[in-house]
Amino acid sequence: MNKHALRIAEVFHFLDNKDITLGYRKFLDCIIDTQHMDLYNEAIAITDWKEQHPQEVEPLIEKCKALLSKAENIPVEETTVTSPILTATNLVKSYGTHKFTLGPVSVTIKKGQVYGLVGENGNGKTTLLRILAKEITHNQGSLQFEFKDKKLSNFDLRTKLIYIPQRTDVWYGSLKDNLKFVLANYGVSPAENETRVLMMIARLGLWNYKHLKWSELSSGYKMRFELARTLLRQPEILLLDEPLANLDVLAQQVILEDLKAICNSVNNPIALILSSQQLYEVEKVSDKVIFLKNGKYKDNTEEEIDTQKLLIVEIDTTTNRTQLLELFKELALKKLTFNGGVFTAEFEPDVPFNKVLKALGESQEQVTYVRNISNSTRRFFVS
Amino acid sequence: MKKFIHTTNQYLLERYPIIWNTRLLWITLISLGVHLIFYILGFIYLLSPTSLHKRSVLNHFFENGTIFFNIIVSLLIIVFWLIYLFKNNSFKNFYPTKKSGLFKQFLCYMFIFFVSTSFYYSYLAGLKTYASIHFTDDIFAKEVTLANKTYPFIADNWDKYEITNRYYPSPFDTLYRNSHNTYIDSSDTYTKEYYFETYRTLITSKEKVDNDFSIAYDYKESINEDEYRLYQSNKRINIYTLTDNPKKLSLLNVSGMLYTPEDSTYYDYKDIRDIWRKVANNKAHHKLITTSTPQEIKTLFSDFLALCHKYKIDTDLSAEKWFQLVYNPENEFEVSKFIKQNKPNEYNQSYSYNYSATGNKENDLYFKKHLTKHYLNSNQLETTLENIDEIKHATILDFSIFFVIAATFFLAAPLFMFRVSSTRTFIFSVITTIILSILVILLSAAFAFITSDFNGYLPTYLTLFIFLAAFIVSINGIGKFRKIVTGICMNISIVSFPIFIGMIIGLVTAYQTEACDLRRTQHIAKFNTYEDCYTMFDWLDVFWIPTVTLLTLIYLYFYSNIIRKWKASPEK
Repeated sequence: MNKHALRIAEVFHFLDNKDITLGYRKFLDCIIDTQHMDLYNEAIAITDWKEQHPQEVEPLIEKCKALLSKAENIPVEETTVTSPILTATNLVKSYGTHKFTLGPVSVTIKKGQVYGLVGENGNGKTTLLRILAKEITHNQGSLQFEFKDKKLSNFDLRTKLIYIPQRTDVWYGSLKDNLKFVLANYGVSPAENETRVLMMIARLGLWNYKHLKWSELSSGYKMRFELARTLLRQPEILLLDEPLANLDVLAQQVILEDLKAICNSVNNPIALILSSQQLYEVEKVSDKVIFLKNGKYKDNTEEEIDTQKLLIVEIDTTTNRTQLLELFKELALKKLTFNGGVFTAEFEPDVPFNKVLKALGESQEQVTYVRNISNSTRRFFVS
Repeated sequence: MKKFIHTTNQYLLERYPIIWNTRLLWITLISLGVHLIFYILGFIYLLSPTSLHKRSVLNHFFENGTIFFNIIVSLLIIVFWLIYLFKNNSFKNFYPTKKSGLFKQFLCYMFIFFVSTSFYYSYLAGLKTYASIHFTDDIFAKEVTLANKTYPFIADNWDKYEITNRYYPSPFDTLYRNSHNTYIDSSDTYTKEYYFETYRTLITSKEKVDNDFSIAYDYKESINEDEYRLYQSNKRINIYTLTDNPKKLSLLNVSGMLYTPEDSTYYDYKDIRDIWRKVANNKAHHKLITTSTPQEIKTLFSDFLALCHKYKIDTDLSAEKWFQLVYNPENEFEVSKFIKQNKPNEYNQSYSYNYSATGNKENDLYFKKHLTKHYLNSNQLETTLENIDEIKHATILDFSIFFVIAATFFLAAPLFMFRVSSTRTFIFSVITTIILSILVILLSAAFAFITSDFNGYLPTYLTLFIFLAAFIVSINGIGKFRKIVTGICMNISIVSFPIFIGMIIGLVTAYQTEACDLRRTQHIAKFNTYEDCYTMFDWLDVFWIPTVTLLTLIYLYFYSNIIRKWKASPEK
């Protein structure tokens, strides 16, 4: 069973369980992978029907299954990813008279991978993204790209290096026309232009917003339209600066899931590097999380001598420090810190996390949130 | 309509994104609509014949406020266009853009600026259409003939009736006034009004005439490839001695015409170069006056007054009254009654007359004494005929079109600069250009002050140096200098190329002229002959503008690659 068939089977499973929220998005991903305009048009028609009949789940599932059956028979060429699309080695960027120095940073990313870039404000996240996007120069190190097209001028390279800054420009005129303009510039045939645009609108859940003006959209939908515009360019690498800013938690999760799914496309995988403050959400979808502090690089796969063996747990509770120390007195607690909102407890490496949970569970104290951050870059924020 | 616009927009958007983005089609259609309005304006302008009473009808557009209407409409169209143009910028968003794509965008800008500002040409086309319908060649020729035939009878001044205007019969047809001041002794009495020359002719080789400055002549006529016929003054004659009553003002002395079509050469009276035409005129008038019956004269007047009525010429004359005033065969057609040139208005009943430049007070007094209350504004008719002729001979797309196209380049270039660079780079480019201009002026002024010599070479060379430096930095400096610096140089290189080429042509011409002047002086000193010199400017003639424009467009096509390179370059 190839990757395409596996994904279709997964969607059937979602539909069988009537999970159409995520299932429908995955269904559209499968259709998009076929690159078959007839199927696109059918999917667009289903989306239109779906938006007009939001309560009618069963007929929707039937329509989706019928189209999936057709998609099953379309051969989808899998893109094999061997070499990294971006290789940055020891990048260093200094501003002014060494007021701030970023790096050295080394990053290697392949298509289909998602990297999160986290860190407090002013630690160089945007600078690193802009260096990778060739918007600004670096002082040292090397930066290499490996696109499908080997012969690229500098301008052609910039057309492939798609970087979306945190503050995007206002769109003027019809949203759909803006999207069609992208495809027209990329030489997409007139016959496919409208179809591809509508498919992307459907995929990103923008169907009911396509006729609105830019000023009438919320921040979340503006970002979705910006993503639609970006994804229509069929990028090989995508650099997003704070795409989750101004979004509510649910919208953040949906966007990240969408990005993850689209980047993992069978025939058009994308390398994605995104910066964010939403550590938990980013970690969930990322293959690697890069942490920047004062321009220096750490990532969640690096082994660190001092924290390698420690169990670090983040606890949000109404219990006070004394009571927590009492609770954990049997668990070789090394350090307990409170940042005003949550406690961070550090235990010896041989302490299992479930024992911490058990201790908390057996107490009568109210616990809102517990998380093992031993392997999360979250630990860099609290240490 | 809305559906049609939407469908067309979608068609263009999917197939021709540059045309869609630049709104080329819609702006062209809107502009064509305005062109039609200006065409109609031009057409209806001539519905009132009084429009033709003012000289230079083709310039009325610039004098009667129509140009302001043009400017306002052009500005509105351009602002409207820019609002739509600025909605999308594929280049700024790094959508794939070839150098030909950038160049096409620039051509679109130029075309839109041209089509939205060149309404004068449609106005002119309207004038010409009206003229071609209502003033056909036949009608116009007849009207000019009628006006010219009647001209001797329009007694609104005394000058034309003087004996000095007479060219017919012989010996009047051999008299001319020597205009070669170089050979006139100003203290001599023959410069006075009534002294003229007779001429003699001499056939001489062209080579001799062209190289020997000592050969005097008043007029040379090429008779074959090698020879000229030279007209030289022969004998001075006092014209007053040729007739019994030389001071009499007579219809028979008139040798002028009311209107001479513009394709004929017109000289001051009694010029040797014009003598044959004057003889013909005088002879024709003479024949008409002496051989026509009174009824024929009256019919001529009636036809003429009908023509005046057609063109709303101010007059209170009737054919009968006019005939009574001027037809005087008994006394050798002496003019004893005059009419006014202008219609007296209610505020100014007194008549002002511009006395003759010759200062003949005797005739002035005579004129004043015999001036009647009647009037006929022959100037209006002359101007009307001149204007009609001007319209008929006007070329809609003449060489001025090259100026307009060149002007559209200088409108399109800043817009292009703004679109391909950034607001910041554009503003700094403008500021830099202003500062550099001031610097060039100050340096040149300082140099001129120190050396007490100003010949224009220093500012030209300084400017050329700046252009060249900007060009080199924009090509080789990307990645080496800050992006804003290379961006400013790039913008200067975009807009300054035609100036650069123009200055080079100017410099070459200046050097050629200097060298030629030197060579000519030496040549004259050595051989006492004259040498013709051709400069680059002479060689290009009026085509220097389209040449520079064409070179600029070719340059811009290739330079578009530099623009792409600059755009892709990272900032420091």
